[in-house]
Amino acid sequence: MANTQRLVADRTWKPKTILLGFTSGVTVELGDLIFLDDADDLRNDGNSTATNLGYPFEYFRLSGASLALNKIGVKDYFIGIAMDDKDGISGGTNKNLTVGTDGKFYMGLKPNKTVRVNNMYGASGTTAASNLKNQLIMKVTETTTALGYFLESKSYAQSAKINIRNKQHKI
Amino acid sequence: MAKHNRHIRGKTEEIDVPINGRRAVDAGDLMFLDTQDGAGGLGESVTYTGIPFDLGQKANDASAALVVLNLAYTNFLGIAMETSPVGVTEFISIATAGVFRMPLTDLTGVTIGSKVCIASPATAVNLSADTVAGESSVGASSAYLGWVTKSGASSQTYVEFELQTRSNRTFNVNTTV
Repeated sequence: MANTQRLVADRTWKPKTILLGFTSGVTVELGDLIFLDDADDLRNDGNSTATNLGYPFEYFRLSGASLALNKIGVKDYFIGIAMDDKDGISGGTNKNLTVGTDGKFYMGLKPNKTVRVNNMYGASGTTAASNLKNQLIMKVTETTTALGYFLESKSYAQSAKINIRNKQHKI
Repeated sequence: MAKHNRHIRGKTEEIDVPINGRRAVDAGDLMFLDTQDGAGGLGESVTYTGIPFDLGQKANDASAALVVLNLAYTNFLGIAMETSPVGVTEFISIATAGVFRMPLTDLTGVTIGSKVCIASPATAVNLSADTVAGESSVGASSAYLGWVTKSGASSQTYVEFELQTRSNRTFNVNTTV
């Protein structure tokens, strides 16, 4: 998906950001959902070594996992939303990008659903390849897959405002 | 009914919530989201709109009081930042974070770090939209609204507290409601 600024400008909210490293070969687009690769076997169908770098959601593939299990698995490694972009260059150097970890954001939904304030959202994906989507979310009812809350009520929403509940909010 | 600006400091992280024209909302009211039939107090089907605590359903006995409390707590939105009169269906801003100052239902001492909760309703009486209870005060419930940010000796009439809602950073989807 093309670069899309997902941050909503609202004077009553204070966005929080961090600088997170990304490996050179990975393409990151503005608005991508990002997970922190801080454990082994989170990528390449469960065959990877922890890099402690950020990756867009599409790279999250547990060993033999279904789409449903990948949605559950990514929750514990979700870190935020990319606020910058970079091209993937093979053999280059790692690059730090700004990642939003708190604030009000605007994300697309797949599938379109009626959402209410305080409904939960989680990762969306494609069943065929069990791949997660970088810039799409879906309404969920279980906390096991929830990445945060919707901040507005909308009928058959194609997009909606959300907040972020990531690793930094678990205490 | 409040009609007071209760906000003291901190980002309020406001969200826009629809208000049904059958109800009046005053700035400073504690608000919850109507998520089930009858919760709005007018015997209607679920509206998914914001309802002031004092206009929700009444409890006719002790067990019903718990249901009413739990309903308001699990669907707690925050504190209204603007007024909406009867007859107008519109969106209003509701603060989901920040430090607020509200009257206490019962005079009590408050300590930093202790909790503030919804004042338990008496039978056949609505919840209070513009007063809260200290953690240890008479009639206090376990339906927490936030944490005290300023200590006061006994017989305090007001309490300053940091709002705890689903939408703000002090609440996590991993936390059991």
